[in-house]
Amino acid sequence: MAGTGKTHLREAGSTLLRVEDLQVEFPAKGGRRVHAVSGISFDVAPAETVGFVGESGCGKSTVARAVMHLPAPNSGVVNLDDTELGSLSAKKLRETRVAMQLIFQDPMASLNPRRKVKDLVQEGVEIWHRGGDRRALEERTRELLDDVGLDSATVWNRYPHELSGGQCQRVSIARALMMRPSLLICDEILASLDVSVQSQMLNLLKRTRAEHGLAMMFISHDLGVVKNISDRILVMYLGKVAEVLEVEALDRETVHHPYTQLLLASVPRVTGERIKPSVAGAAQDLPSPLNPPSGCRFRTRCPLATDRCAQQEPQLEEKRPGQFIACHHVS
Amino acid sequence: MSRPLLHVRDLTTTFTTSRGEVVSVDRVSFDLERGQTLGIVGESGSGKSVLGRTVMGLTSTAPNATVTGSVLFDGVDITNPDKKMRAAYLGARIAMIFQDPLSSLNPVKLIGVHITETLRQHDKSISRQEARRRAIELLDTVRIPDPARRFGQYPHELSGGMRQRVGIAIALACRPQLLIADEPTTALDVTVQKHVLDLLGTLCEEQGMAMLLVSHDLGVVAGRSDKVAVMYAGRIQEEAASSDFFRHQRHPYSQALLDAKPHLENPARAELVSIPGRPPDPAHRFPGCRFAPRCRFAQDRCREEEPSLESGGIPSHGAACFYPLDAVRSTKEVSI
Repeated sequence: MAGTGKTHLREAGSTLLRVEDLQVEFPAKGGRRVHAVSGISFDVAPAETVGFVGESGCGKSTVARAVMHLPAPNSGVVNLDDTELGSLSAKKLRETRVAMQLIFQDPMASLNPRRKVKDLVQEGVEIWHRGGDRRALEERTRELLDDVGLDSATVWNRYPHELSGGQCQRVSIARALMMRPSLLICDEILASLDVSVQSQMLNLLKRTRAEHGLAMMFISHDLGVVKNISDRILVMYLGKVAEVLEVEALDRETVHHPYTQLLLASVPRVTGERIKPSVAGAAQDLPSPLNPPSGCRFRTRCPLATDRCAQQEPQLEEKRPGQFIACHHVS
Repeated sequence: MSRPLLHVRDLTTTFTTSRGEVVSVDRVSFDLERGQTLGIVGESGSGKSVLGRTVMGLTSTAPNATVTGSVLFDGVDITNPDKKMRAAYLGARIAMIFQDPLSSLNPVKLIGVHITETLRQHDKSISRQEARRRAIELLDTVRIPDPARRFGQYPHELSGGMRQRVGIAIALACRPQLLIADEPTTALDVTVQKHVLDLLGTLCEEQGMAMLLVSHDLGVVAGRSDKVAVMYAGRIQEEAASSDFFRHQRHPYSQALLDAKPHLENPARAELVSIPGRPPDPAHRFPGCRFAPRCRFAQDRCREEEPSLESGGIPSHGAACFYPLDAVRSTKEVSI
């Protein structure tokens, strides 16, 4: 996999968020470096949802944090509404960043256990003095709590431990919306929830983004979930982009990047027929991001790999309308 | 047919907690034949894991737990096993693997030692060299590459999928007839999940081993089990042959559970039919059907009387529902 390349980026003026050549490395023992994200470019249009999918360790959460500059990427450009975040002073960055709100996977851990729901939801606007007078603030808080499906009167004075995981996640969403963001970054926010709660949250997110005109970066390991909520999907592998596609292309196209193909084939199908277990192969591990394979990073697991894949990194190319693939062998 | 390998009747596990009596598993009955796989599916709090642990004899030792009903393994009652029975059955003829392969391995013990200690525990006559040889063989059985090197590594040096394979190798050490797999792939990536499920399927076939496959995900169980049991609030709500179950569900909860999941087969941006509300608090039981407060089809009777698991005319397809979804209305097959 591959790829670098920017053919999939749209015109600069039409996007809300534009990220180019994002690169994040972390220092490791012995002077080595973890290549977490290696030159990823993508954009998000206003009110659009872009899904990020890939296995653990592919760098999808690191992308989310790098976009927020938490911490800033090693190199690369993050443009939000034509403001380059890297060029801003620390103070200005903090101020600009409010337009992007990040929601995390573990709803319990991301809420301060010693604060009440009302305070948690109001905290952000209080820091930025954006709440208006006390009555307006309270009114908006109640409105948002009701909007995300909580009974504001009941949860108002509750602490996080008195709520279920799904309810905590709703509080996190209300808290993010309080800041009137233009971009919501959801990092595996459904992963710890039960199926019945998951579907409630998906429907809630879809309604919320329509009502508030929100753009979203939706990060998940679950291809079914990503397909359900996204307009565009980025398939990531080991810090690179393998494929970018419009969600409709998932139903339309049968040819994908070999890695996307592998993911699609691995998702369990709901079928009554007994699946003949394929003769279990040897365990195969993700290569170490300390020392990623040369050329195409997917080549060590790829059925199509040739010498060329080791020498030359494939670039993202538009193979079919709305479908960009970084592979030498997929046409 | 001869007697089933596992014969469970009215199994009930009750915990005494500060909030009162919590009945986690409530009058659960099922049979499992030799070499067959029963998938047990439910959301958190449904009692599926406690059921697996109770069969394994792991709850009866807890000071606040009471287990009633019966678990017959190959005709022998192992419901509340004594020390001797524990040694003879648990870990030997019945083995278990867990969700989190990292926390179920001892971080300061070598991978190989986890396996040899199991071998030597159950067979005192086995020599060290023999145990080592068998352990490496077992690592090879679960398709771990370079097993001799892995034998001498620590759990943290292995990836999640590899650790789960080690867990399986430990479970296989005494050639069990029954494997209880409690969410074996929940912590793993989809690609690794597929490998582990394939491996479990192959091993069941090769060794004629029966399996209780416990999962929150109907997708994991689909295609990997002969029978499916859906649990909700401590009770089995529906039980059927997998081939039948995935074609049509008779219990409204089972159907809702399938509809709520964003399947990859569904068209993009499909609106999901979600289940309103949340599961009932196990410490506050109420009369009637436990799913009634969230059920679209609930009638007065459902709120007063508790339905029992009845086959309702279709053989081997039981649903605990007064108004089961009939075959005609729900033939809508989940697209494959």
